[in-house]
Amino acid sequence: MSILVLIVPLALLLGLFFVGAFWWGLRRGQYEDLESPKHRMLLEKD
Amino acid sequence: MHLKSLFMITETLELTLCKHCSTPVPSSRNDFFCCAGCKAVFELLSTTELCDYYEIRKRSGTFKKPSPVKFWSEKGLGADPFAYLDVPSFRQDLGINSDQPQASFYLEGVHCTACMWLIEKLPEILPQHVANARLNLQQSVVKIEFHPQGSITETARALERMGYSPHLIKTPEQVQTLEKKDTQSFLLKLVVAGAAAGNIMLFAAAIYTGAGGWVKTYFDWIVFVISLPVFGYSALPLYQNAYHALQNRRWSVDIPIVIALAAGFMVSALSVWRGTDQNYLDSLTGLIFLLLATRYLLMRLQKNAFEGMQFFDSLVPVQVLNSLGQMVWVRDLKKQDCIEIPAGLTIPVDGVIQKGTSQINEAVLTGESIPRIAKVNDQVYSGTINLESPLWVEVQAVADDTRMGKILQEIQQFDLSAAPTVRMSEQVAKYFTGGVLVWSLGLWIYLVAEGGSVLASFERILSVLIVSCPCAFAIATPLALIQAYQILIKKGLYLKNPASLDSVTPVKRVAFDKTGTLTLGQFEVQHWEWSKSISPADRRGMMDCSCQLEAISQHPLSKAWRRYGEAFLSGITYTATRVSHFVEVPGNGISGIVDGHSIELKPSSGASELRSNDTHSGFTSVDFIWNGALVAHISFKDELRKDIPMVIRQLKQLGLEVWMLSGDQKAPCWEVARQVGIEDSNVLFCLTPETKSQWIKNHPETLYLGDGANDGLALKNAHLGIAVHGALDLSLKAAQGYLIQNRMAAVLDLFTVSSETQKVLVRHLIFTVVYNGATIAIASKGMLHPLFAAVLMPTSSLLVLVSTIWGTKALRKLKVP
Repeated sequence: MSILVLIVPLALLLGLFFVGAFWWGLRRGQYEDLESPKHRMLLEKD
Repeated sequence: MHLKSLFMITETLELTLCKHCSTPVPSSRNDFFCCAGCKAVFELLSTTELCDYYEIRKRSGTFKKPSPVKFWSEKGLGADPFAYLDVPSFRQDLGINSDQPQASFYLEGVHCTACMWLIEKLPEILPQHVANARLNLQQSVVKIEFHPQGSITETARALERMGYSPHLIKTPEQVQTLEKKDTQSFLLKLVVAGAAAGNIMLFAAAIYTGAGGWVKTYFDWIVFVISLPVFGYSALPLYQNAYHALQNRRWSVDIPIVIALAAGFMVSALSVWRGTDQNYLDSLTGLIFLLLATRYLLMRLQKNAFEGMQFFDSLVPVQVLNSLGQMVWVRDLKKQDCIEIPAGLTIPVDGVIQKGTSQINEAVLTGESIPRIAKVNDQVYSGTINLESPLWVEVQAVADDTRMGKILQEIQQFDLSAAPTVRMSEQVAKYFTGGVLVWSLGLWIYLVAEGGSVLASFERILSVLIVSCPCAFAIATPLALIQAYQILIKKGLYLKNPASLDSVTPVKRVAFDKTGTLTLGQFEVQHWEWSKSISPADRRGMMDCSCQLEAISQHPLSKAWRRYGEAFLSGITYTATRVSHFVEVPGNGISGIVDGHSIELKPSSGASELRSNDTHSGFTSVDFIWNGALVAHISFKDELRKDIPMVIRQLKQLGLEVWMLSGDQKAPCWEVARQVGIEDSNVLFCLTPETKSQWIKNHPETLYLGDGANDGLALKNAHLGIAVHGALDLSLKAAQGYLIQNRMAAVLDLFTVSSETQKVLVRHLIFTVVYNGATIAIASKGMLHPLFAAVLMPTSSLLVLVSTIWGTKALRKLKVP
């Protein structure tokens, strides 16, 4: 059971990492327009 | 080559569809395009090698039929509505950075992926001005980055030539950034709450399943630490709402929630410290997450494209020539200044004519489709258009002091003071939570008085508080409204605020404006009756000469005449090169000499022998006089919107009164009323914007549909105001909704969706009352652990959610495209 002392903080850090990743995406404006990019992707020819 | 190959395909079809917008082309046009606008767009695309647009459009899954293109110039909003965009002081006011200029436009007429492709090609079309263009398809807003020397004016003109009327979004950059920050931080709060609540659930599960000893203490503390950002950061909006409510002595659902959160947190913290069993942080963080999620859904809804529309271009020019021939700013003009207003310009001030005679289109104020003659000492108003010849006007009022300015101001004041519809669910939630709070307090006091321990009794109270949260209902109401709102958008009706749906139920009558609402607001030749003595060969020549003459005049009837003539003579475009002695007497027609023939075209005297019967009496009509003899009698009509008679018939079947309110004269009004099926007794004519609005005020349960700026007041004062497709900015600002397609039947859908959504809401109300009543009773008896309460509460949310999406039979039918 003592492994919990190590595992639990690691699990929490992993969770924190994903919150951080979300924050990064949010700051870069990835959630501002959820409609256009999927269409734009199909139009780009290069 | 492109043009030809495209044309070949449709030659086999009997009905010609417009190459650009696929609207059937009126047979009188004898063209491949339904209007000059569409033709211009097509030509622009083919010369710039952007015809791929049509290919992409065909493949696009989201293709919706675009509407015929209408340019600013045709809307009669003055010669050049974009020139001021490049004026340095204007750009400064807007906070446009000179090193990296950026501007956003709301575009009318964006409808599919192909539009996005085309608009984002702007850097290729205007390489010297535009560096980058990004379109937000959902909001129809394009954000453009310019080169340091790039011209915003040129870009706006190009957008217009491509068939998308641009409206500059005048929110300063800083405000936009602030709004963006707000949304972002809310989203972050939501995500933090979600992540924390999820993790807490895992640790709580371990505790509930019997973890003991140091593991329990360890987990208790972890739960406590994770919950800190939720209580300290995510829940901030809840505290703020409750605080504001208290400050303004209002009641809000957030007050009992915050009380439950605070009490719950303190009891839990104490229990963690002392190692006892009253840790409720799992339930509480879950509650915060669900509440925030609901708020976020609502917020997303309110931030829609209509926000951009509040900052539309002004209707009048910003610069004008003064009596000394200098260009001056309109806002700097003072009383008694004299300014020149060239033909075709929108008059920017209220004033009195000093010199000149002209015709003025006052449709913007009065809705009257036929121009008024204005002479020396006549009053002119801001926003109206000088059609014929230059006028010198002494300024009496500028900007906010003009008649138009006052109408605009009134509309804006309404915007501030108009209270949002208090939705039924909020009312219920309010009384419900208030009642639960009183009940819990009473219960706690009772339990403690009976000898229970304060903390042990608290568990019961917390269960009651959590399980009673009318979250299900709070989520269900916005969801039902979002769904209704989305169905309506698909059907072509855009509501600024979904809460307007509630206002549909009490509507007892529907009132329409005439010009531009029941009709399209464009004159067409309705009937051309030649005198029997004229041979068909002569007719051609006469028509040719008359079009020469009409090419000089800018009168709307002249334009209709010329369109008809050009179609009749198969596609010649007229420039008035053979005309001499041209005279235009405002209100009394035009005359002149073409190829040696004297021609007069003037309003019908009414006694003409060609008017054999009365069938055309409702129309504006003109006599064609050739060398002194009457040769033809022409009547004009304004084309009806296609589906209007059907819509009116069905509205009547729904038991609604149908009215027509118009600024136009009696005869054309009655004629249109007869065609669409409105009784004469329900037709009101010769109304001003003020009298229209007064009538609306006197008839409070009215749904009003209008288009012109003259409808602005009426739209605002109406119980529910909807601006129709092609409406002016002003009426868009005032209205609660907007028809995005040329499809009036969307009004019928509005009634269906509204009543069906009400049914769904009532269903949820009954469910919530029964469910919460039962669970509160169980919790009050102490038979419900807070954990079960925390599970039961979201379960009811889930049930309600499913029920919302399921909707009703009629709603499901509307969802099918």
